Amino acid sequence: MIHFQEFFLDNGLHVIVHEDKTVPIAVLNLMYDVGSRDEDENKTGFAHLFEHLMFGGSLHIPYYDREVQRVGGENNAFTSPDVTNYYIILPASNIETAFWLESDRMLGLNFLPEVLEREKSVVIEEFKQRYLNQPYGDAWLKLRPLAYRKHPYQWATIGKEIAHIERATMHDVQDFFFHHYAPNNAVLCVAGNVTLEQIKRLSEKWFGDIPPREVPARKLPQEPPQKEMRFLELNTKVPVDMIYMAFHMVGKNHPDFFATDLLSNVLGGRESSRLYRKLVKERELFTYIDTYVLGSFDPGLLVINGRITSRTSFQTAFQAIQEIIEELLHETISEEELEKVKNQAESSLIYDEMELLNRAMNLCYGALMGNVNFINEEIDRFKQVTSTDIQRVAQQVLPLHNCSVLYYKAE
Amino acid sequence: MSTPVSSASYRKIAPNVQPFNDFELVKPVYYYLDNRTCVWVLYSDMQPIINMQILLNAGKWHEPKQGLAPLLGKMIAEGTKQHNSQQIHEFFDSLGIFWDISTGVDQTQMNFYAMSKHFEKLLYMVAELLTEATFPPKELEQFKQKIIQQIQINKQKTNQEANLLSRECLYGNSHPYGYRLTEELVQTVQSEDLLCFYHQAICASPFHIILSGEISEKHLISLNKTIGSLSICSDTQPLVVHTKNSSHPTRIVVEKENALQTSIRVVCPLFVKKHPHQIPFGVLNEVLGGYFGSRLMKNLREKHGFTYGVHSTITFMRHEGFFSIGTDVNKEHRDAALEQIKFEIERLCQQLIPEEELTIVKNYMSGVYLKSVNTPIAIADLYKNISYHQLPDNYFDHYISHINSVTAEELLELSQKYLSGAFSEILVG
Repeated sequence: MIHFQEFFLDNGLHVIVHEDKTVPIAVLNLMYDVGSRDEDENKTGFAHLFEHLMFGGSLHIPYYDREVQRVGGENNAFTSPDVTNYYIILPASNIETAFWLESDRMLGLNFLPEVLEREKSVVIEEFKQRYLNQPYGDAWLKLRPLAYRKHPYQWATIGKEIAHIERATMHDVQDFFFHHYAPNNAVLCVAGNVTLEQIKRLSEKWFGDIPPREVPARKLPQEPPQKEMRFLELNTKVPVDMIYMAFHMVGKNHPDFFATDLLSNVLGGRESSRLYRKLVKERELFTYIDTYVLGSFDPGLLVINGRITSRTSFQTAFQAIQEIIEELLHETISEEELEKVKNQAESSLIYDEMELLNRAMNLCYGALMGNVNFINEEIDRFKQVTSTDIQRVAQQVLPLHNCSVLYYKAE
Repeated sequence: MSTPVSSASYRKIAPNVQPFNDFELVKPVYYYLDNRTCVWVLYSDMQPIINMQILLNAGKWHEPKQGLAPLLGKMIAEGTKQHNSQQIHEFFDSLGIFWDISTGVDQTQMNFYAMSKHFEKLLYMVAELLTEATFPPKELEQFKQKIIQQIQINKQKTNQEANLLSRECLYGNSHPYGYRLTEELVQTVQSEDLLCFYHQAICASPFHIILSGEISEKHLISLNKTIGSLSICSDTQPLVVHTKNSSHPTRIVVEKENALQTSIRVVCPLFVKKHPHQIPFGVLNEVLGGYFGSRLMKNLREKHGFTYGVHSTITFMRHEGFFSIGTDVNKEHRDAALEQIKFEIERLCQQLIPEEELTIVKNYMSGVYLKSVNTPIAIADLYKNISYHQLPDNYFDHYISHINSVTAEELLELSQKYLSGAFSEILVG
């Protein structure tokens, strides 16, 4: 049970406090309700580019990183299709420095042209290094538009193409800031060796005078149901054959999310899962195979990803996965197997929540999904899943017409 | 609504840096099981999970012949008298237990994370792994192939090769800390060899347990019933002594035509962790090359652009310690880079470190420590270190004040004492 208390400032900032007196540190986690799904399709990669600019100096503080180091802290950020998240971990006695730094960035950036130019080139190098210059690095750049035709999940957070980032202007950047970086579009969680009273006082002092801003209402196009299988073969310079299969599934807020997550663990994951045991250990068709779900807010994907051995044809490999999927469509899984995947889900959650930072982030995710207490309900919702539920979601998710297949053929 | 904001003057001034105070670690409660096994228990009811670490004196230091240790730990869970490999994996997966067993230079460590409600079931399997491993030849062959592939891949990596050469150069080929695992050595390992080593150093040998998490009385009773009932040979293990090469500083250059970079290592022997100079030397190391803002980083990366990264590190094993500086540089800059490394070492030996630089380093190190103790399992890891290096159990309680008491004059003395002699240099690529 993760205890928390919450309050709102007059400007709309949602603040969550999680006290943990057993640690000498504190985390300040600030999650903005903006991700790459909120981008214009002709200006993709902006949410992420903007995350970089947030480190380039704010209204009153020119060098963010140095100030964090000076108080013994550590900081980082990430952008996803749904959110942009910033955090500082530091000795609890210096928590006010985190408020000072983070509130100043929300108040305003210095918007220096040279910072924009520098960060544009850094992001372009990141694009090349992580997505283009690596075997399979472009998998998600290819898989997303294959699976999504309408929803903005069709592009990756890095953006559709380098040109979008190259064309970014200072006007675009300021526009993005004033539409999305606002107290009424964010949730702040302070966790660790702090008190509610202290955080109330610091929140008022540092965030209280930041004016609310006009945030445009979110109107995203919904993805229509997929009617037939999609297939893309890539002949590129990769060391071994690789297959990705992506199936549409529900979003994290849907009641069926938990059954679908368990279904993915029945299929793949650990050494005793069905795909791994049969296709890697027994039949030696793959050297590695895994299954996972994307826990996105809007309807997401269940993904099977496997490395095919050199003596196996794609057809054989694909067929072998199909046979295991067929079993799940036609039979319910045993109580023992159900118990096994529930145990795995439960221990992963518990393990994950040992880290203070993860607790702070998960409380923020819950807040953006409309239920701060989500973190405390997850285990029970996994426990309520029945083997009939698993078969039912398997029949919705795993039929081939709902699947996009990406196949890398080694040269 | 986006009215222009007035610049509040208080925003221009950073809040005061609060002094970094010592943080007293939770102390373990000590128990002895019926067979005299010592258990350290760190209670925490934050999460319904238990971490159990079992530490055995079975490492390269103790192996009857070279090459056994690296395979020993990984093979223990590949078959017992009662269960085959698949059944053991199924057992752990079914209960959602995360686990790892590995053998290092001085120790074999078994590490398990289980939900507290499954902890008692785990104990029976652990007792089995401690006494009934069989090392099935079929599983051993598969594992040997995997290791040999890894050795072949690592051979092409200049940094791996440089690390292996550093240790060979410090300790020699016949020393457990110095020899390298080769394909030939792996090939010679037979199931019987591992079984023999297992019987000598694991089965019936004394070990030490560190438990952390949501532990109750009934867990301890079960622990005593299972692990506490294993028969442990009460004879103390024979004292093993190894002598290292009298290491003269050397220079090793391995040319690799196809390599894009040269991996440089500059190494010298150091004391063990128990030594009184360990904490101040740690501060010195941080200034030189321990963090992102270090002198070597500023010189080699930011000023000269020779490399993406350069680090200095202190490695402590139970019986030896060494200091090393490592970097991968563009081939044509290797001599210039080496020169700059020497320049930075000399600067430390000749000039006092400015106060401001020292303060940032001390704050940074204090913060790193405080952030490292934020879960019961992380605290258990610190106690594992205390056990491994045989440190007093209040070692970390004064860690921060110890760091803060270090002076620039003291560091100058330490530089002259430990860093002014000759280093061995290894260049690969």
